[in-house]
Amino acid sequence: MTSEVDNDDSLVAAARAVVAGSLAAGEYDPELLRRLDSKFTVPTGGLATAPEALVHVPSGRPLHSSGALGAVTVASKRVVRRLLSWYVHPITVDQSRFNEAITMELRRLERRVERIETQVTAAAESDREQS
Amino acid sequence: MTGAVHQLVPVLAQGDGVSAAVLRFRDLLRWRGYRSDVYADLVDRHMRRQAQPAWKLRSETTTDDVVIYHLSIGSPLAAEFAALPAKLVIFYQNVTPVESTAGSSPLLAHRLRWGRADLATLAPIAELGLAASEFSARELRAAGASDVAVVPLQPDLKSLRPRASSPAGRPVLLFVGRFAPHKHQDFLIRVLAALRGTRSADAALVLVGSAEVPEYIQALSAFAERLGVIAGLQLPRGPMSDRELGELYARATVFVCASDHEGFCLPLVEAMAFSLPVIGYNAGAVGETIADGGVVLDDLDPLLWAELAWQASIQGTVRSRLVRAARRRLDAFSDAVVADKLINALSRITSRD
Repeated sequence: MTSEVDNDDSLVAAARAVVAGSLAAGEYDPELLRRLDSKFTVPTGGLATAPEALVHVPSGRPLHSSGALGAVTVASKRVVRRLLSWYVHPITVDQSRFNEAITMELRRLERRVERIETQVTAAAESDREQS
Repeated sequence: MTGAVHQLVPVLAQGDGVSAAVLRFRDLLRWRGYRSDVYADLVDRHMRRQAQPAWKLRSETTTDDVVIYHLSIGSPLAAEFAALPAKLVIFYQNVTPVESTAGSSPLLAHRLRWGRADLATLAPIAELGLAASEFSARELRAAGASDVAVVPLQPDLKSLRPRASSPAGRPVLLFVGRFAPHKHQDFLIRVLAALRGTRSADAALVLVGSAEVPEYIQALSAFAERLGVIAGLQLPRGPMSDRELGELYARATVFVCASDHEGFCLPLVEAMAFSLPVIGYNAGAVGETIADGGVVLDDLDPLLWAELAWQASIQGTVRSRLVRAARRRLDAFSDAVVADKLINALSRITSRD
């Protein structure tokens, strides 16, 4: 087995030695090494607006205040939020559950429509073949 | 065993690994004398003859029957499966952790979260848990399944028409899998850049798979442009038939997989069927599936991957050794081996009567 996991890694070790040797000897183009380090950013894409992305309703939004008493204001808001959490949190949980249920139902309907469309297309094709 | 062994799956689609494995299991069960049908919620129109509508299953099963539910994504079918009057078996195809797909598709993330919730519900109530790898079996046990067996998946090789790969001269790296961040196609583009910059300026990388987020393919294309290797990158232009996929396997010189989460990775077995050398990243079940059939690497160093891909591509001792290893490993996924494992696992629940 040529897996490093089982330590039977002669093939991998040989390749590793070739790479290390070439690096040490400066045989690789520095521009290539720089390019290999390029960052790849995963796009968030237009699907960020899919309804499922909005299913979860958070019970709190980020706190901020820009006034002179910013830190005090934020701390006060935090206290108020904590005092009201017994009231707000269950509402957001219920709302999230409702969103989830309605989204699932929409997807179920979407699948049903897809199924019906498929059947209609097949029926139309078969009608065409017969005529 | 007197009853039938049916399978229930949310989606049966052409080009989908889980669907192909479900149909193979059905054929193996029938081969061993069982009555076996596939029931699905959504059926690709090209596969309509292969499955019955899922809603029919309830009226067509009895308590003597076994129903295997394939779980890879959340579905309303999970609740219907749980209420069936049959011996319930869950085949955990693995659900990608949501964190691995961050930023790709909220829709996919939602379905994966749902899939994890289905796993938590179904694992404790299933009489038997099946998984394609020990990696997935561990997750199934952790979710509450008390009896778990490992049964490897089998690709539908007949439709791919496997033959020994006949490389055209230049290194051609191939990866087959859904376009998603956790599959790390971006790393394979780095490997292509390293290979073209160090060993073979005309090396190519072929990426095959479906894309939930078109922007992801565009981003990969832009990344290849930035790395100066766009000319060597082949991206999908649309749906592909099994025959076309078989052509790509036959023309490739090495199969590479840098995915950091796989419940089994069926394309690795397909590559082995084409006598392709296989190089994979040791994450998820990849190391288990490759086992002694290829190279399993613990790190993602594009220069090292490029060197190994080069050696696996050119005619020589390394390539011959890896081709032999791939062919040997394929025996572990033969009809007889997979059918025996499946039947033995199912006999555990049928012998409890």
